Amino acid sequence: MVGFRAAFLNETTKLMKKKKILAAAILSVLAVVVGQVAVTAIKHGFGLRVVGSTEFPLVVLSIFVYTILPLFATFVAIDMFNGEFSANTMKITLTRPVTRFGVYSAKVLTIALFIAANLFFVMGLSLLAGLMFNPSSASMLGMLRIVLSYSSSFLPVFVFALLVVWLCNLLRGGLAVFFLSILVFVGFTFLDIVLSHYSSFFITSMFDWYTLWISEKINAFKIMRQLLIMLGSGIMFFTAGYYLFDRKDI
Amino acid sequence: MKLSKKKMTVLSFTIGACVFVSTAFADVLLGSGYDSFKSSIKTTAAQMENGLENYTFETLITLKDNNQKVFQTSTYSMVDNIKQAKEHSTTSQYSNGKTTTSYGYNDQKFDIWKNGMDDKYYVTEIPEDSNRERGKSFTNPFNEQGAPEMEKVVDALVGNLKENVQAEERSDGGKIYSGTLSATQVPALVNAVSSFGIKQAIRDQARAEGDFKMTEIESDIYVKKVTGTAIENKAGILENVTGDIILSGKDKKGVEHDLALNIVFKLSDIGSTKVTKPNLGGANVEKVSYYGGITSKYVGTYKNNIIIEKDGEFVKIGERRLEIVSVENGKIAGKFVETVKPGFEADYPDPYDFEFEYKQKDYNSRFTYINSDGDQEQGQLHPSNPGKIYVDLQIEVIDENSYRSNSRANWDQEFNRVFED
Repeated sequence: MVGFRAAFLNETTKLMKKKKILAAAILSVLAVVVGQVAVTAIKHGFGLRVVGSTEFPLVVLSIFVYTILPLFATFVAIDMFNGEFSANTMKITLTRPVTRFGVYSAKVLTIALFIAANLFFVMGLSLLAGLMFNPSSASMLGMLRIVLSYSSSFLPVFVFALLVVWLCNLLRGGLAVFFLSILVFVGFTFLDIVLSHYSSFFITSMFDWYTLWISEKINAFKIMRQLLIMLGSGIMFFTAGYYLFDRKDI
Repeated sequence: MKLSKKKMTVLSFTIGACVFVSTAFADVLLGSGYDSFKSSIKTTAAQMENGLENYTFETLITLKDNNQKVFQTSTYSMVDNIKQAKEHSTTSQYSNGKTTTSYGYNDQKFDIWKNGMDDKYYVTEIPEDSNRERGKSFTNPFNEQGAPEMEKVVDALVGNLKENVQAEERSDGGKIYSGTLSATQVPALVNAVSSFGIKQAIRDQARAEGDFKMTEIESDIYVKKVTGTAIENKAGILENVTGDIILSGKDKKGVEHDLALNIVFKLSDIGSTKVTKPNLGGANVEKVSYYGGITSKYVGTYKNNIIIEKDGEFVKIGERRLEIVSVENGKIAGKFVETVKPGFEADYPDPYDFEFEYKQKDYNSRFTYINSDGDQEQGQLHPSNPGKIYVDLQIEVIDENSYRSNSRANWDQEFNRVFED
């Protein structure tokens, strides 16, 4: 792919300059701090040990993966597509000697990088907080579980981001895409409860698939199935998004 | 062969869609161990309520503190759905060696009850015309109001933990379900709520029952491990369900305690359980009236004083008199009169003076009377300590199961028997 590297570098540089990254970082730190304060308060108030040091990051993850992470992934995706179209900077990118597929994949890869980086950042922070406040209950196995959980959480959130990317290319207005994404998120979560039997069709139900990776008996078939579901829907959204992006007039 | 861009796009979209749809459907069809476990619980509950002719049901609950038995209770019940009879006995053991037992039998004609305190059987004969609905031996909790909603909420909370329930086929056609959750997998919210709940429950239990002695755990409480197994027979009925919860915590001195709660349910002798009425010949038997209430020994006069507070003093301004004239076959006839001393009429307007007659059908039977304004009102009699009766008047019926009694000013519902010395 001609110029893909350049396009990717271009996208990441643009992303790094955005204030949103700073906001995401601050919110992540805040989430970890608030979580730790809550845990400490419960420990001293009620005498309950809600989490040990190596479990704290998992508690943070269980909330983070449903809130800040998909929200900011949505922001970033909207910025990269709708934002650039409305600011008329998309022209500059597209007139470079790069194929449209190159530009599209560079953007998607940058979103992936953002999600991975954010997960990694929160993992580091919460691990640090956990070890600082409850040093007694740390273990090697626990550490391994945390790394596994955070790494596996990347996939479902990324697939959700691909869905948002597809919406970005479907609609012109950034605000419309944002609200539609929220609606999809809430709708899926709701359907997941009402039609719990069919939860496999809703990507949000897989946000907690990391629990499969750390369970006592690992159910490899279930992991395989969920992996295939996510890969399948990921490919679907990626191609559908690309198809629309390719046909867009500048 | 080089595919055009368009073909490439269509192809990859199709592949993605195929993979997604087929795996998602496969996933739905396969379900999880959790789903099939849930459906066998439902089948079992439905069969126990209606379907199985008879069965024996055992429950065993054990609580251990650092491997020392603190409390154990076991219930053994035999149910016959056709004769609508049930026999059950419960034994509880405490750490101080004390044991309590209770025994009960009921069918359509008799209620028999015996507790561990006195060696006596309390027998109630249920009359043919009682309008009490015979309670079922077992009520299916899944048919209760709001159960489907609760189920949805639980399903949502369980989420991907469902996969921790493993189902295994047995050689004889049944299934074994098993599952384990270690401390890391128990969701934080569930952990916090259940730890707190169990801590409170133990404390309440210890306060309520003097025999229930155990160290109170104060800090660092968390769910250490949850395990469970269930055995399903080939008819799809769960025969044996075992659950273990280990809770860890520290007491005041910082000593660590592992509290292990073990619960076992056993369903056995399906089709071969025989419920028989106990032979009470020679046993110490006390008959208890079914109406809970007014028997012929209550015939007589009961009185209390009408007292008001006037100028900082209690003043007796009159008397209430309840006379139970006759009690025959549950039919009660009586009189109720209030007499107010002359000069105090203004302090106690509209005194009652009526006769009543009614038939006791259950412990909640009411009689109708006419008050001084000529309106119909309802009242009720409750037996109290020996020689005492409580009277409720002006009862307002809200619905089948609830009512409210509006007592008027200076009303006293306790009436004492008048004895001629």
